[in-house]
Amino acid sequence: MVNRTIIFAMLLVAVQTLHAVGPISVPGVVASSSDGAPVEFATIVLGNDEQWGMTDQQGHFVLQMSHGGRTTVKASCVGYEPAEAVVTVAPGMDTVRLVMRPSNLMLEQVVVTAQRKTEHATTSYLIDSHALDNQQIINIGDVSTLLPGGKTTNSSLMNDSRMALRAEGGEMGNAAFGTAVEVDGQRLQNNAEVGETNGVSTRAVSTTNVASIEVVPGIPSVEYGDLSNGIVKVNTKRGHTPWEISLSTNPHTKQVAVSKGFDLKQGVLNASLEHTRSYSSLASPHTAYQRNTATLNYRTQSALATYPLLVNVNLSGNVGGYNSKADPDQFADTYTRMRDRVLRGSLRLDWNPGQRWLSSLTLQTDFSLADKRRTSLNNDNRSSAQAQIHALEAGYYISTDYDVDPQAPIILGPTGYWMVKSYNDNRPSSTLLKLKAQWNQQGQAVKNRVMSGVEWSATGNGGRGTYYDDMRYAPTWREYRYDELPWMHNVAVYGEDRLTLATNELGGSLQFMAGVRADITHIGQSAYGTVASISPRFNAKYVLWADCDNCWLTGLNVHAGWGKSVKLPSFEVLYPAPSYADRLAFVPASTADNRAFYAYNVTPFKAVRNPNLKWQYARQLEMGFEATTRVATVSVSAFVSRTMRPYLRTSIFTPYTYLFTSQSALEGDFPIPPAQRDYSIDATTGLVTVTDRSGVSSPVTLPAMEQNTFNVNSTYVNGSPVRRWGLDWIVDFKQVAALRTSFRLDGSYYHYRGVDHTSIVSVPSGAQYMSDGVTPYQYVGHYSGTVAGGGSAIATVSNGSVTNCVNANLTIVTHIPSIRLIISLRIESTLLDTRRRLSRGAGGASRGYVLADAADYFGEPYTGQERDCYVALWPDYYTTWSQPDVPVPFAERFLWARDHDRALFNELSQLVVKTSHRYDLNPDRLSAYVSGNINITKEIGDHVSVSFLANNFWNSMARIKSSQTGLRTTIYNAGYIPPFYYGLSLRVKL
Amino acid sequence: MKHIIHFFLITLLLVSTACSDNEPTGYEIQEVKVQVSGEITVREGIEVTLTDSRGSIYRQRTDAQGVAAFGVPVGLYRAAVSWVSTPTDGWRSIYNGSVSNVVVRSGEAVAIDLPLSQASTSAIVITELYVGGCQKDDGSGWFHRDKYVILANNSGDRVTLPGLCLGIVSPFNSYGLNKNYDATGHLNYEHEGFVPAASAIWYFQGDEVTFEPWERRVIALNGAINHTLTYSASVDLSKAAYYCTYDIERYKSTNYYPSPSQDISTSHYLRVVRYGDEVETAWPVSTSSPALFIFTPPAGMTAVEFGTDAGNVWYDEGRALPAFTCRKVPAACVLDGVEVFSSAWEENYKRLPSAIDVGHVVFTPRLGHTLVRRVDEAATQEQGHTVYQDTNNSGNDFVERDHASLRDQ
Repeated sequence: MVNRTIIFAMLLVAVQTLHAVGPISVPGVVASSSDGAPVEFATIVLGNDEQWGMTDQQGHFVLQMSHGGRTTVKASCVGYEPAEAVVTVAPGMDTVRLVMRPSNLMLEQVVVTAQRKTEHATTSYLIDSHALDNQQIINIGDVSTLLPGGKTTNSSLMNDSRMALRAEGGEMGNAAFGTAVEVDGQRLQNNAEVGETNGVSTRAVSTTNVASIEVVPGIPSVEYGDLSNGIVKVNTKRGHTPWEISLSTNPHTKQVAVSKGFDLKQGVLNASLEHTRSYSSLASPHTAYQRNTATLNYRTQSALATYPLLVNVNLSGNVGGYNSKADPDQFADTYTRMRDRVLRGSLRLDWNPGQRWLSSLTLQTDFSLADKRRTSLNNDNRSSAQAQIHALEAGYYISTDYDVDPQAPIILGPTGYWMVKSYNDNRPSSTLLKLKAQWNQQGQAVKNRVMSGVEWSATGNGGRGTYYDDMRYAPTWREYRYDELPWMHNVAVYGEDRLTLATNELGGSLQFMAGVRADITHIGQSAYGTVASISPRFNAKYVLWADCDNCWLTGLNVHAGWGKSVKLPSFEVLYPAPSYADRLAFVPASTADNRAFYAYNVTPFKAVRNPNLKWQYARQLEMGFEATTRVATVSVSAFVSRTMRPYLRTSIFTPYTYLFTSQSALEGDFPIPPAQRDYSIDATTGLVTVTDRSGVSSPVTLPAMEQNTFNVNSTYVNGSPVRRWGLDWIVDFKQVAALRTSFRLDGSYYHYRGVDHTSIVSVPSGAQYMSDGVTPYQYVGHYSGTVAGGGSAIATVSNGSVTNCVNANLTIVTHIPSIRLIISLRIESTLLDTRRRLSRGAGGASRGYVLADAADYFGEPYTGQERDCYVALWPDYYTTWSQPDVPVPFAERFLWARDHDRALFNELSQLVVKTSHRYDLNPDRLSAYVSGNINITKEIGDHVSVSFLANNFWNSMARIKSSQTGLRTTIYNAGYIPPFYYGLSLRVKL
Repeated sequence: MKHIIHFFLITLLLVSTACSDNEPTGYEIQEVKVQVSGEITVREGIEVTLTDSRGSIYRQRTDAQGVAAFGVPVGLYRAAVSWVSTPTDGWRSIYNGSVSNVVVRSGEAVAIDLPLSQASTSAIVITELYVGGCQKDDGSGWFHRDKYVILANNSGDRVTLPGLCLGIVSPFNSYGLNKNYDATGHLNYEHEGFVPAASAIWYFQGDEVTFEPWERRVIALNGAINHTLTYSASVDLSKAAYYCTYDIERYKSTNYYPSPSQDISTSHYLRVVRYGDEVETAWPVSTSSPALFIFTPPAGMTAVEFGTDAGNVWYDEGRALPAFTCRKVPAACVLDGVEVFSSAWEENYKRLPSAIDVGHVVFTPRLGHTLVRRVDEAATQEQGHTVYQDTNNSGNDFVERDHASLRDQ
């Protein structure tokens, strides 16, 4: 398949080369509609991202095209509405004149919702600054509110939720981790986080300096890699702009921001500052998260070898984070402070020779340095001294006084009262170097763009990990330095061809896009070494007609695409932190001052490399259409997505024996009195020796007992595929002129089904001891299927779930340009919300048994049709401590034990897991519910703009019924709709 | 003009007064009739109590037909009887019964049946329960890993039992929704003859447990050490005579279970059979409102056999999860129990069946308070030794004191 794609792309290039023409200059000028003044530093784009440039101080631009023909010239600049013109490129052509209208509410058309981008062959939505201002977005991650069927959330920085496109939380497949976010072309990385495998945090990204956000849930260009669930592209404000001051307030967040675009003659410098502070408790607003961002962007245009060279330099940073130090409700001087500091920089050079041999060349390099250090000062107190274990090596260790050996593997902690200061030094970093070339060709009715690029990226972490300022008080903890982990390097090579054929005079065209991306990932010192992956992607779009002014259906296009996206693993997967089993090996009695010199057997674990682990990837298929009529524009997009090989952490049980020495060994006529005892333990054998400090008695080695248990290690495997499909739709009705009101219906249908059949090993949490009540549990169950969750996979009756949701929103926007007022009312409804936990065997086989009573273990096979019943899951087989490699069929043995061996029955019954309630596996269909929001934006002259919002403005307290339990519950403060909320923002332009 | 204003004000006053007369007072008395029934032969003169959700108690005696008639405001009530018969031939009987969730609505007379069952009293009783913790010296909060319970032989006879265990009933706290009640206001296990022991049971070592006449046993429930060295308002549980719940190979948290004092023999350690969730770090005795009981294993079984019997499972709230697993202790095996309600909550729910404890005692945690059993003055004078009151009614038998009795020693 890949080879065919490449050959196809090469053929297209060859064909197009035959039609190529020499370089042609496209001159132009951009002026403002208000006073005719030139618009300086506006961005100019020719065609569909074929050539781009910038206007100078007089509003002039000159672009080079390698070919002639009809094309579109687009101009965009902050403070103005985009302008475009269709021109015919030919040698000696006239100057293109573009007039841009200032962007304000006096315009006839103002959009405050997400708009479908029509020029792309895949589904993407554009959210501009009007929509962001009207919605008063505080966190970039909240823009999904504006997508079709989106649900409003009350924006706050206290909530560090992560975006997941076309997915919901709690599902298998790490959807948030697979959703990429870029700011001005720079990828925000989360791969180097050691403690999580999650999507990137966006709360440190300024929202007041955003010009637009493009959300691509569909199949993106191969230029974008390391993703599996779409991409969000944030574009900041660029251009010569006035001072703009923004003030915003809502019950939990205050924000102030200022920005300005400076004319530096040779270029333009955009600068912005923003301060945002959120807190969760109105009664105690001292514990807060702060964002203090500064951004600098310099753009200039010069020439390299007589051809235009665009230089774009970005520098942005945030100094902020969470801090409770000022909170008077905290005890004494205790606090928690979490830095969220980041410094990002990028340099992008766009060289546009417009030649036959090269249309454009882009070189980009960027870096990101983050400091997420967490500092805590906590009070602690104890009446008994506790072992503080810091041992890193396997063996037996006994507690030692800090004053005797501050470096001892186990420190005997203090009694009384003290303070503990701890740090978690976490500094994820990333860097990237990218070179991309583009060749544009155009014939009479055909256009072709070939893009090829190479990219190197690296991610690492320079943090020290967790540490304490005084080891005397450091609790049980192990040093794990992030800065000693090697960086992950990724080299990607990609090529893409986009072929556009004009099909008729009404703007009809056929567009094909085919590309392939190869990622080669090198993971130093990791068991996974160097791995490669291939991601082919295809998109096609057929515009039947676009400009049929006399038709009722003025435009119609359809699109379809298929693609594969590979998500690179996180550091949590690549370099899992070692874990430790600390087992008590000796417990002497407490002395009169409440000190007991505990000894422990320590076993370190590191996740076992799975040589069969494959990289997780997603296969996406989507299709849709857009129809423009005289009444409305209808856009529909359907998708099917399969997440293949999702990462799944599972356990490995290994039999293990250690020695335990009981206190009873010191009783009776023990020759050494308690006050004269010194304890030591052999690090290898675990035998405890008591020495007489007075020297009167000889040392005594205590008798010990063997304890048979299991070491539990973890490894990553690939779970079963996860399937999602859905439908997004938007119906934008034309404005009712008499009312100056427009209506929009948007919505989404979402289906998820994930059923896992992975073979896992587990010991249920209730299985602790054998039937003597003393011996640790000696059996391990082997089950088929599990559910996603934090930590390692465990045995559960449910091994998957299915979800069906339909959200539909109605947005009514009244826009009165004469008084510069826009009012939007949005009714959000959930018409269908059906979820069900599943228990299914492979191939649809029965899995589990229906119980007549919760206390039972036996019943009829569960088929999925039963309702209101407890269901039990048995392991397929079990192994024992003494024979870990001999699987014993569970059902056969369990049935036998029921009738013949009560003790064995009691033991094996602990491997049976059950549903918690009778209704757990019932379908849960919620009755429909709605909420409503009002947003108002009013401009006062050219300089002042005020926005007000009220979410859930009627403070709905409706009740919904759950078919799973038959209960009716209120939706008030239950997470279905946002709580009643309001906000006000003021923007001033000087 | 002044006259007009005066006229207006007087009219307004009259109108508003008239309006007030027509408004409901919000205090409506409704009739409630409680019919006692069951094993009792006497019908007349038995005291019945109605307790509302705020703790207000209404008392009435039954008539010749065994009916107690009340006039009470609308609300949610609990009806209870704890009646001790007149001694006959030196023996007396205790009759207990209760019905919860009695809803008294406006305009609806209520008639309920209150079946009584004869309760037995045991020689081994719980005489003190200290679970609420105390304030720390640095003002940073409260410390509660110094819990203890005192058992006593309430007779002058030597008592030998075939084992002795401690159990708690879930929900661990008395407040919050208790899903073990049926629609009639009864605990759904009340008439099935068992008490569910949640999470784990502790048992004394040995085949038999013998209490000498009037013997008291202090059992440290978390740390058998001298806590007063750090928390001056706490207690010293390090003394040689004390017992402790300590089984570090099963409850492995040395924080909750520090190694007991070197003065306490390992033979004084109570051992545990765990059958609840592995993740529990300690036996979950509520610090505000436990329902704790003592029992002997059923005949022919050891405590371990009883605690590991997979055929003897009952799930709290009907939730078939390890964390909700209980063992069914036959009511006949229960020697004594104490039901504690939290003073911080208006609505508390009983967990011990009436046959074991028909009442409850209200408790305020975190301040070093304790619950002690009242002394039966008459019996004490008669026996010449402290005899504790035992009517199987915590409300009558226990009282909250402002400090632990061990601090007196």
